Amino acid sequence: MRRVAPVLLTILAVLLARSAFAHTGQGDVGSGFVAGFLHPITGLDHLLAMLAVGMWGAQLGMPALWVLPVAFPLVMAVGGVLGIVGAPLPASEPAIVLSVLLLGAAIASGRKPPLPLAAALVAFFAIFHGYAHGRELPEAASAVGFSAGFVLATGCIHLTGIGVGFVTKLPHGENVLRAGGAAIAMAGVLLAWRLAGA
Amino acid sequence: MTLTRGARALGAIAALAVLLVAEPAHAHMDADVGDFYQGVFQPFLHPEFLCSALAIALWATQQEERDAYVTCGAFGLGVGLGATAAFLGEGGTASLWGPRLTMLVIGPLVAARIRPPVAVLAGLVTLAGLAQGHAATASDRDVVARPVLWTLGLAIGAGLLGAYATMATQRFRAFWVQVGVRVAGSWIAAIGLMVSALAARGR
Repeated sequence: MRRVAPVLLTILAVLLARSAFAHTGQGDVGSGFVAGFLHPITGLDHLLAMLAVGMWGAQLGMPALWVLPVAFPLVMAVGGVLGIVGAPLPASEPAIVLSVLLLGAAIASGRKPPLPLAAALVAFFAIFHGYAHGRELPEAASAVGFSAGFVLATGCIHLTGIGVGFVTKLPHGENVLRAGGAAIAMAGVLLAWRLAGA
Repeated sequence: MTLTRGARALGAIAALAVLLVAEPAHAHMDADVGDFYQGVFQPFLHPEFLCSALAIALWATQQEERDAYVTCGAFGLGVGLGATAAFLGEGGTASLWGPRLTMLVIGPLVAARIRPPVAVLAGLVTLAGLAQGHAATASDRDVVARPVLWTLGLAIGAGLLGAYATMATQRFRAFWVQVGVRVAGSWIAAIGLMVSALAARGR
């Protein structure tokens, strides 16, 4: 009985539980945040490219490891602004697919270009990714919530990529990372094929 | 501590009674904590104010310890002056462009880890505080009964946010903490850019 009583009490508490309405009446910041957070995660092309940025940063080592994640969200936001104001940016979809292919290939090759070249390449593609997000912004989303969610999700994907990149610290880790890069590049080829057929 | 069987039974009955009379919890519904605490919590309840105050707090953490506390003090002072100006002024609609500009200007400075002379630092931060204090107060001034308490609370809350952030980073001086601060600055600048663009488009 001594053991059963707490269980019964818990079941009773669960059955009697009613909903809690936290932060009611403060607008749709939460839904905007969720929409913004899910946006980069639910698109395979965006997800793979940003994962590749983190992995590449880890592969290149210091200071690229932190320069790329610092630079990418800022430049992507510039692209986002271009999309929001409706500025014309040609071939944004092919550029996004190309970014998946090239960033994956860069990891697979294992070559270490100079930091300015790597940063310029990442920044170039960041513009197109941000542009696509800015163009697809849902009408109902809260501006600040969407922006915060979007930027945080992008940063989290980078951090995940950096975490994956730390396999290089393990025996044969460099080869494992390069294989991951090759897989991303292959996904880029498939996306390009689909885009060409669309 | 060992409870007797009777005490345990009494506790269980009391818990059951509390559960039976449970009501829905409406958190933060009409929470009247007084003007002072409304002022203290104001930056934490509005995302744009929070982001811009965080930008200042993060910038303070990158300065030498003495300059960091000067930054926190200057921000608190600026916020207090801005709030006073809003109470003494004509009123009108609150402009959120001050906090947005703070995110746009201070965010990149944090990302680049710029450490200007203390006079420039204090000047810039006071200006940001003025804009923040004015905007925060102009949006809420009609519901504030005691402006002095509100202003004091707002200034102390803003200054404390920076002081806590500074203390935390002075305590944890690891390289990754410093990198994290720079990344956060970049994120705040990115959020500021997008929010500004959306606001300019009437969103």
